[in-house]
Amino acid sequence: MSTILEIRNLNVGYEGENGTTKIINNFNLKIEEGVIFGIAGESGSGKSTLAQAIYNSLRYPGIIESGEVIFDGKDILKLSKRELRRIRAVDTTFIPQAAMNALNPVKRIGDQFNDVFEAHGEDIEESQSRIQSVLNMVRLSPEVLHSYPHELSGGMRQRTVIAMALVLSPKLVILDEPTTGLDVLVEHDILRDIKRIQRQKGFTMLVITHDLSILYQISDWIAMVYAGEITEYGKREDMLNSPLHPYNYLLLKSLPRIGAERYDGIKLIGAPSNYSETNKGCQFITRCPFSKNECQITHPELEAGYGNDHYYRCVRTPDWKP
Amino acid sequence: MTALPIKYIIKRIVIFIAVFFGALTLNFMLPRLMPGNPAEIVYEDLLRDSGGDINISFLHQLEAEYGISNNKPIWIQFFSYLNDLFHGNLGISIAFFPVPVSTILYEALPWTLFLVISSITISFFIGNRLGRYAGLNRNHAGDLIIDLFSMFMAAFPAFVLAFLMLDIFSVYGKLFPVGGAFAVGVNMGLNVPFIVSTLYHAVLPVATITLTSLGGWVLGMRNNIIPNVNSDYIGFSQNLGLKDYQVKRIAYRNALLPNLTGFSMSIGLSVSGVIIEESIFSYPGVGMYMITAIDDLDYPLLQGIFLMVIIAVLVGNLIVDILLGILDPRIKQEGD
Repeated sequence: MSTILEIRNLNVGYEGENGTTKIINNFNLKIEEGVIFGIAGESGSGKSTLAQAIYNSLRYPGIIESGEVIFDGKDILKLSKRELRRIRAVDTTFIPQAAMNALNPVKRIGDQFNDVFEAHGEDIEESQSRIQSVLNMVRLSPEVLHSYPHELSGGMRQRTVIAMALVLSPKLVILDEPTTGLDVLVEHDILRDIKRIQRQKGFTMLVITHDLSILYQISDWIAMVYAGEITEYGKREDMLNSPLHPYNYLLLKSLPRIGAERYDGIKLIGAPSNYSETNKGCQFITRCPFSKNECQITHPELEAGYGNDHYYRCVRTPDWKP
Repeated sequence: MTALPIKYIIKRIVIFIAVFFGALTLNFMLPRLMPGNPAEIVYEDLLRDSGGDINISFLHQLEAEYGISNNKPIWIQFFSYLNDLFHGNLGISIAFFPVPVSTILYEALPWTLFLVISSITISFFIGNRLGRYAGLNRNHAGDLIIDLFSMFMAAFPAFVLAFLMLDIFSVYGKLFPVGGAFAVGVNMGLNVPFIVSTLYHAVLPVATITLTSLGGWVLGMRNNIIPNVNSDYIGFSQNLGLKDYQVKRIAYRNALLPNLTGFSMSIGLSVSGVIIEESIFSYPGVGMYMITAIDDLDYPLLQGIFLMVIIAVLVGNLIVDILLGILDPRIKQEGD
């Protein structure tokens, strides 16, 4: 397996009146071709910022301070506007949060598909079969092409957005909270379809979410993000069965399980970091029930957990484990 | 799905007719609610001039002539008013006695419509283009210049600008005529000297109305396009790698819809709104006659002019309602 996306020392912040607030700190990640990679974090953990930075679509006041995002051998952050535009939808694509409002309200769906072909120099007549096959994949009838967005349900609009993003068969698909605002049944259907399409077409998928059930349902690989840093990442089974970071451990404990006894142990309390105060030690210290003095002194680095596929950021592993 | 939303258009036309009748009723009622009548004024003038040597029956005769005798019940007056209206009989002007009001309007209205439609159309297109540029290049130098200019023009009183134009370009510059719609001695009709003369005489009034109405369009368009640029669908179209002109087209098209509604309003309202410009430039439009009608308490003429304003506003609204129904698919749905 070769690496399709590599993030190196990425630093992202938001410019404000009192200087830049750093959100993403020295972020490093490698994603292999053909996998579904899930990145999860609480609201405000910087995951959407990360997704936009990776796609180089971050808008002011968001600022990419340094780092590289190597996709297909090229640094996305160094591409010109023109080069960036050309790879979008063709090589890599981005399905945004609130995808339900992502369609132009005054244009028919079919014409919006044709706009994508026009933008990338594809022949509109010859490309109609591609629309048919991609609509088929997301289980939409071709009739939607004659509809305006307001005539479709939320789920159908979501499927339309996914179809539009996939119509030119990109190699890397970034989904930022792909099912926000949909009810659980529609969400489940759409996720199952996304996973099926991914397995069929073999593209790489990066899913950003705050929903642990979604995360564990579809991902092959999982990274947990807290305060703009990875706390732990690895294959789904390792992450699910034997977490090595307190954050991941407590999050998993917070999930209710049918049939299991009620969990009455240590709980995750407090609110996520607001980035206003930086401490030189562990970012999670304010909420970690297992922290000791040593956590305040040194900033933990990622350490290998299980083989070469698993890393965690905690100096007290495995001592904290109850 | 049909290209023309027939049901929606029919609904709009029904509403149009209902509102039209409501407005006609008001137009009928208003003069009758006012104290006194023009016949009394004329009668009193004559009475004073002749030293009391006039019979009271002359007053009744005048009232009958003006169509304002009060000896019939009000609903009969209303029906005869409607009946006259649909036969094109708007009564006899008092100020220009005995010219029928319809004749005056027939001569004046085309000039006003010419003035209004050409200047509003020009300012709508230029204004929207400038607003689009300003909104898409927010906070750049061009945007700031356009904003300042627009706010200045929007706040600048029309009559001051009209006088300035007249002073600078006609009185001192001698570039354009000081008044009238076409030169004396030119024959009205479809001939080149008439058209040239008409356009030449229209330059200053059209420029004045265009400039004073420009600011509203610019600022409206700019304010519509800015939230559009930050909308989810613009973000997604950029994520799909759409070309710059495609993205701008989407933003512009969505931002244009509110301004189109404004366009209908101003077409209608401008028929009465260019009174000042018409009188300053001595342009023989409805506005000039309206001032005379007010001065002379010429009710029939005023009523006729109000009728024209009503029709202009309503027709303007109808056209844009239909246009919006075609351009914005969301509107015709809720009307179905």
